[in-house]
Amino acid sequence: MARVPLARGAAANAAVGALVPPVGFVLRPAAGVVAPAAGVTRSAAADVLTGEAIGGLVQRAEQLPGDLTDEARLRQLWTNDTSFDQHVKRRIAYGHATSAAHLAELTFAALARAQSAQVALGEYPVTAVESPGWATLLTQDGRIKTAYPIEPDRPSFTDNQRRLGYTVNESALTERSVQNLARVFGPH
Amino acid sequence: MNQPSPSEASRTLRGYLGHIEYWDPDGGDAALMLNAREWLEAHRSQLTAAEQADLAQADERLLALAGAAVGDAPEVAFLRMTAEAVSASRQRLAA
Repeated sequence: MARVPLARGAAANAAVGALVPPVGFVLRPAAGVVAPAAGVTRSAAADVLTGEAIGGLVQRAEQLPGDLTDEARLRQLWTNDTSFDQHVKRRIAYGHATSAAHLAELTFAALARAQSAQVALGEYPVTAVESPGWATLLTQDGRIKTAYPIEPDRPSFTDNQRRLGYTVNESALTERSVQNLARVFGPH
Repeated sequence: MNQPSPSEASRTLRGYLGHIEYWDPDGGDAALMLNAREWLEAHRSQLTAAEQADLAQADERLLALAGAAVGDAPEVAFLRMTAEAVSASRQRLAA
């Protein structure tokens, strides 16, 4: 999959409050969404975003020291420490996990067997990497934003994003993404 | 002795309470809080009287949280949708 060189620029700009849409997209500020540029199909654009998010996650995971615990590893892959701590408390409250270590175990096992992804085209695109029973949401530059079990009797990621007025595209995972996720997050 | 499994209603209520207590404007999962509140509304009859009181207290905190929220980021949008669901619930109960 082709790299999206401006994606890192977009992330950097997002940190200071500006927004540069990823390559292949245009920003529609009034609607608060990004949309594929002329000549780019929504499906192709969604595939590029998914590849970028997963590529960023895999690259960051590969750069971590090998002696980290799973909990420390997950913390490093999260958007920030405060958000990680609050997230763990919420997952425990919901009964989704019993501890940060358990959350890491569940999330890594899910990423290692990821099958599909959905991309919500909001102002800051979010990719939901889905495995049977578990969703891991990534920022465009591949940081983990949240992770939780998929409950069949509750609205899905797509349902919820549509309530915000966002378009959601299913995106196939490339063989390379599937292999990279399995290699980096699978049992060693 | 084995403890009985908590009911789906109790589990969902605990999640809703926890989501308010550990609210994070960057959390990315506020939709789950909205989904939990809507589920609780649809299954209110499964809550005990004590749980309904806990839900009412949690709703108060939710409304305060939503009232103080600024901006229109997705998390805040879901927070406000949850507040709307709470307000609609109160109106139904008052009718």
